Amino acid sequence: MSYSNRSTTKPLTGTVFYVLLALAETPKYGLGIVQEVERQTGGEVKLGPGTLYNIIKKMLETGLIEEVSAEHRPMDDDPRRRYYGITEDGRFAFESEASRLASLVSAAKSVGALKARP
Amino acid sequence: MNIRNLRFSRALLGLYPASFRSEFGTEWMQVIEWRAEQYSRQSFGLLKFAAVIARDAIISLPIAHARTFFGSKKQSSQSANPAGTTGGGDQPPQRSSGGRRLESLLADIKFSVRGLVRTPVFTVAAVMSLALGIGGNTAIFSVVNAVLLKPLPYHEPENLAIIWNEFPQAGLSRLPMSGVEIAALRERDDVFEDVGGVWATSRTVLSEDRSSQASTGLVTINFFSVLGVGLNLGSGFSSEPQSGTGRQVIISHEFWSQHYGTDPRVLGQLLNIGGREHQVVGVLPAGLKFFFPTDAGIPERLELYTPLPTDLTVLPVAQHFLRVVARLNPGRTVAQAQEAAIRASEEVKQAYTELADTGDRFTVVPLKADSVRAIRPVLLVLLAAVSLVLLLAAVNVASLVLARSSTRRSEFAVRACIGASRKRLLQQLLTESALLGIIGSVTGISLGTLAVNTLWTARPPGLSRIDEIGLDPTVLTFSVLATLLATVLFGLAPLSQLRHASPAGALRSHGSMDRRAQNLRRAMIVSEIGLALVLLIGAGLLGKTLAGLQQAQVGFDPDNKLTLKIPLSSSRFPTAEQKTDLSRQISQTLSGLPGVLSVGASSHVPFIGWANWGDIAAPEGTDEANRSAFQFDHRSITPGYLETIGASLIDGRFFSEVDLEGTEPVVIIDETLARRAFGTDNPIGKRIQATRYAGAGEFEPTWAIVVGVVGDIRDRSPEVPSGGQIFWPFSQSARWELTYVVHTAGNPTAIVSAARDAVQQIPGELAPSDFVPIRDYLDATTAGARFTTLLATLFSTMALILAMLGLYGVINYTTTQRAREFGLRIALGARSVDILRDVLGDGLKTTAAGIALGIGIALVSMRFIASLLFGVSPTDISTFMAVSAVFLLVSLGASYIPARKAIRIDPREVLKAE
Repeated sequence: MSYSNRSTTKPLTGTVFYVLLALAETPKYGLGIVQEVERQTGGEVKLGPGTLYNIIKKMLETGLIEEVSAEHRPMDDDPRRRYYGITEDGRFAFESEASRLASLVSAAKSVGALKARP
Repeated sequence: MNIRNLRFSRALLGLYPASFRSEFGTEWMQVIEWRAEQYSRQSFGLLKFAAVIARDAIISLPIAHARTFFGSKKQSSQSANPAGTTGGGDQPPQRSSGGRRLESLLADIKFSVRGLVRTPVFTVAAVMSLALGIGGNTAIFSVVNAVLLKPLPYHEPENLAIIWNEFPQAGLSRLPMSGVEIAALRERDDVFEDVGGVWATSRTVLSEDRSSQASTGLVTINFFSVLGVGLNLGSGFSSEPQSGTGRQVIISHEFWSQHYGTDPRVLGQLLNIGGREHQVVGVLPAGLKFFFPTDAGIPERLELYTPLPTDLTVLPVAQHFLRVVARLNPGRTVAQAQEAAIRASEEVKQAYTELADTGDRFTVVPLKADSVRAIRPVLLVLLAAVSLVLLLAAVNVASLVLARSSTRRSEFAVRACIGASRKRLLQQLLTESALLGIIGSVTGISLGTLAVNTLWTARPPGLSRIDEIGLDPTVLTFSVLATLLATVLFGLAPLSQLRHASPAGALRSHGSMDRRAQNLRRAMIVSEIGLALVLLIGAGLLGKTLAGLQQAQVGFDPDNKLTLKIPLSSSRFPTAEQKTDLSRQISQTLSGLPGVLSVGASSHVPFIGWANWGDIAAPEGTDEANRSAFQFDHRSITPGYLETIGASLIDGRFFSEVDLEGTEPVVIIDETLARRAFGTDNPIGKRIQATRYAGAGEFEPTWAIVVGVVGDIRDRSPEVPSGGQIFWPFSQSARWELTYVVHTAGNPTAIVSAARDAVQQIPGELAPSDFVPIRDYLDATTAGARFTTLLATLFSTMALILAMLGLYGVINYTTTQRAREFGLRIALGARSVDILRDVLGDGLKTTAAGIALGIGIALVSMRFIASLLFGVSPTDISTFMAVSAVFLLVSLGASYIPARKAIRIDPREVLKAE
């Protein structure tokens, strides 16, 4: 599957969205992604390694992320680590999904679904 | 396990496909290490860590494997198409249909795993049901296969038959045969290829420094060729008549390796058996076993084999002692063999008038069927039981899946509304069911392996072929396929519900089960409870049988009695007088030991399971023609034996030291013999002609006076009544071996070493052996019943658990469905006790229906196990009531959990949801 055909972008699964979110600013290696997702979700989402690398493999295949070259790495990094960065397709899918979620949220707000609870 | 010990994690990584490991293995471990570190600081960190990692593995492993499997297929199809692009350019790669299938399968697997993880009660209940069904079924099928189905390990075993003598007029069956009868059977060579016979006893083997006992078969010289067993070494018995120093012996492989270190020069060496030199003429193959039925008195293994005369007609006509094996000509049937055997028995009666008109006839039975006749009904009953458990498991899974699928009707309706095709939904359901089935099967196989090992450990001794139990792959495959089929079929139920109901209706129903499905499910649970009740009643009856056997009146007191065998070498003690003196000396020595209350000895002690001594004992006035109707068990006993074992004296007296060789021959008989030989007359003082041992291997008919009558002593098995026994004083029938019974004040095994030392002090190089309490022998006879009861209890417990899981599922489901009603009632002031009564009552009603059904089935079906019961009726009311009470109690427990949930419903939450 490819996201090249941008007009037909489908909703992303939660895990794919979290990975893209983690990679939105800088490329990261596997463990870095896990830690970033936990940080951003306040520990709510804990990615298991099997799930993570299945997703990474799938996202590499579909062109949402790519393995990045050496210049993106920190100087003192473990050379065995593989870094993944978001592709243009990935960024487009991520932004589309974010705006889709935002419009959902505003729609929910318009019917009073997100009122503060007493 | 230390949380930082990552051996477990590495093993887990090993479960992923090789491509995954090489691509991501290092990084996978980094994440694991970090997680381990994170959890090591928390309380119950190890548990939490294990749960997180296990959950991740359950979800990701199937996906990784499916991806590898389909990925490789996809790659190979792409490599076959050189024009195919790999993406990244302007031209998007075309997804192959394989790729789409992979995508949807992966999604289905992921979805299914999540679904199962989200509903742990359903998953555990379904997996347990499947595992119990598959595991139990496999284990019992494996036993049946080993014992009933596998052919005997002989050449063309299907042509082997065992031939018994029946004496219908005397009410006796399954008796051995005489030499002339075997000779007559051999004449029918159009049907019988060959006929052989064996009798088992024990003989004293003398070497330079010691004497020992060896189990010995007295066999016809063709015995091994009839079985189709070749010798490992040597040429076997010569067909020349043997006399003087020409005696021959064939030894077992085990005896050869134990006594000769498998030295091939054993051939031609001399072995002193019972005081006579025998030349070793053959060694049998290793591991040779016999498969005679237990009542034949031929053990699975014997150590020595000495030949009977080549001409069997020289043996006494009326001495029926040989167990007969025949090999049928290829193509001949058992029915033809039976006809030929009857003709042979007619010929014998014509030739030997003393056997005429007794109604004797021969019965031919296939050897294999006869060897397992004791355990066959047990195994068939267990097979029926375990098939019921399999059925229960399938019903249970079906019921669980049905309930679950009903709650998912709205989910499927929504998916159908937004365009999911029926094919897509079908694939989803199939994936779910298959996944559940696979997990259940793996658990079931593990359980089956465990059960087979347990059965092997608990196997009763003496039951033919029981030690050949092993997990059978065919059986395993059958069980797995059967339960998988049930799971998958019922897993498709939501689809049929979608067809019958409109999506709109499904959506409105809030996922509740329609009445038809509810009724179906409740009917399933009622039938489950009924079937489980039948099994538990069966187990209860078998348990009562076992208790009955263990407390059965055997005609003597088996407690605090030590037995020990002492061979009395005929070469050292050739005369009856010498043997009697020796026996008296042994008795006195043992009596002198501290803690010994009394001592006695017999040629045959009850339950020892050694070859019997059966012969004619006919009262005065019996016609020659009718003599063979008076076949009884003969025993040769010392004074004090009957008193020591605690036999009851009905009339007359016990033996004493005045009953000696040379004085008037006297005998004691048991009640059965007294009734059969003398009717209502008082037998005391009457004359009876019975066979006694006259020394030098000769038995002679002797007239004797009946001086006492004792109560029947059961000596084969607690449930088998005495066939009639006659007791000779040892001094007048001094056989070559005695088994002493020592009645002790306390634990009988406490005196073993003192008894051994004391006997060895007596001059005569005695070799006492087999120091075993008589209670142990008695317990060994109930080993089969214990085994059956163990298995029946196991299966009925499984059935009970399954039925109660089912009941819990139904009540829990109903309670959830009625949450709104309960909430409203609580809001309107209903008391907890009313809600509790309502839910518990629902459970009890279902259980009561199941009990009624079960009792009905049990009343009809329990008569099929009547042959396995002893001392309890197949419709024993107390067992039926006790089992029903157990079901009611357990069902209260199963309904209580949902009932508690019901009384804790918060009315506010329910109303808010509305």
